[in-house]
Amino acid sequence: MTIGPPEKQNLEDSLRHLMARLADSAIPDVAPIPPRAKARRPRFAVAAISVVAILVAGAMVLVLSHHSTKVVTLGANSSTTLSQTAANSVPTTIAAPVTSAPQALVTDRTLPIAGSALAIDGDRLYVLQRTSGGSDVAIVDIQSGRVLRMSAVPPNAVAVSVGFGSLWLLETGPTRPSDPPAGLDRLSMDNLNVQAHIATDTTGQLISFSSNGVWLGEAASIVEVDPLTNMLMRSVPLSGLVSGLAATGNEVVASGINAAGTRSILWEVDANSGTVTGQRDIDAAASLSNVAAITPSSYFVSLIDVRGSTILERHFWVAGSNVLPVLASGNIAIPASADSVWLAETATQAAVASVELVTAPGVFAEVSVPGPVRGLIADSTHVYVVSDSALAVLARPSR
Amino acid sequence: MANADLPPGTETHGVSLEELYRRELLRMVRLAYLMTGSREASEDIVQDAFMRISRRYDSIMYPSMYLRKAVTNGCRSWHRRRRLDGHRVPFQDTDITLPEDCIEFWESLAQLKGRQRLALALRFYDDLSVDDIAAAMSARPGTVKALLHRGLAALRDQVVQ
Repeated sequence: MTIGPPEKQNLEDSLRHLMARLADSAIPDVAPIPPRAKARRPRFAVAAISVVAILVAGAMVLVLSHHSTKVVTLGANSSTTLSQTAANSVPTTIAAPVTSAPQALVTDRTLPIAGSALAIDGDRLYVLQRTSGGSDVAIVDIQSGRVLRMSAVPPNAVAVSVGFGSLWLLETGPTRPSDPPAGLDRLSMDNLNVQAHIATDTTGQLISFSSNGVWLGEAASIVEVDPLTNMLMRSVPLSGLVSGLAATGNEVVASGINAAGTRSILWEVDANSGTVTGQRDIDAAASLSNVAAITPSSYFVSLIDVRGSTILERHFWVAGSNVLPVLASGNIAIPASADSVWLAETATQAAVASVELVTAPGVFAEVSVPGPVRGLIADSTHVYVVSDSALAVLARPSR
Repeated sequence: MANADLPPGTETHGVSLEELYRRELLRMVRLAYLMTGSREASEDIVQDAFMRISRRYDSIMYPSMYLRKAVTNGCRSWHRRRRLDGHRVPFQDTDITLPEDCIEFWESLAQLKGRQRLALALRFYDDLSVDDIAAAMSARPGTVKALLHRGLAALRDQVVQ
């Protein structure tokens, strides 16, 4: 088939135009956010500024409990290694604009199940419930909403997570004389029987999984438990207090503040060797909330900036970051996919809390749920949010 | 520093990795999208390409060209994996809302053979010369010309509308 010169030129010009239009439509451009963008919710900003003040005052213990983090890994297996580069030490910021009004999420159903933490495995939810009388873990069938089994657990249990074919229950240090010591319990996912107990000095709700280990946060270190032997494998000391933790594949990211309480820090750790391969200082004016989620190409960190605005930073492993303005303060967050995370507002004790789906340009969708939110987790189609009064099931909107 | 007069992918070393990343990230993600149709895969492919470059950056003479080659290879591997997984139809990213004319154009583009689509994207999106496309694709210039010609002919009806 032959194409004449005038027609060929016309064809080539049209093709250039269409290719540019297709590429630009699919992958929109990014532009700097206004340097003095206001917090989009003043009442959240006030709460956020209070948190900043507490941090500056050096109330580290309060900070750690206030920003307690529920982290669940993406579960993606990455063969990527955490290689540090010259560019990595000089992070680039490619800021994204505040997006148009987010669409409303649809609440699929609300179940009368209260809880303080969640884990998921297929069609089952594992709900940690803390009452004045003690703590339980309930297995809930997602389709029917029925509680299939319930088992009493130590009263100082703070987090549940699914990994390596087991349910892991994290217990923090005793807050009452009658509490058992801190540790990690490995439970059967079917009958909730305790299979192993590992003594650790964990803080917060920090548990996450790399390819080969279970990672936990301690006061100034992170530790790895070998799921084959249920033994502590290694401890990685960090130059500050740990408040967030996320792991996947061969990478672990921890967040926290330096020992003086003056600076927020991100530590990047090679899960295979247990060595700290990178350290990033976060803007001194910003207080670190937590490491939100980690994917093979990047990880997310939620922050409260100097203006009291809550932002989500996406840090790429090689270099650079996106700044994504979000609504809620005091977030807990989990990955929904490689390029988006769910956030839930936890800094408030209000009866209604915000849940957001944040994608590359910013908040994509949000909804209010019964508060205060204690835990959330997502699968590919839904996000499950548990509060002191109910378990809300929200449908993930199509993009 | 990079020479602004040179076409993309042809400047010699002297640009820092950070500058290369800042300048090329979006363009490469879009280029990868034209080859895969998946935004998520494109981002991962480009990040992986930068990761490969970062490990031996100082020894790479033409970083932009190396980057294009890494992205191109990443896209071909992605298609190969999809085929091995039994996928026989072009990928359709349901997470992205495209204008109507772009959907039609993508459907036409997706019908092309992978190497034809690759050559067209490098030529008409990335503005590379035939020789540079040949270098990026590890092919002879004559092969590239043939791929471009056949690709253009296949798209003629769709594009001229």
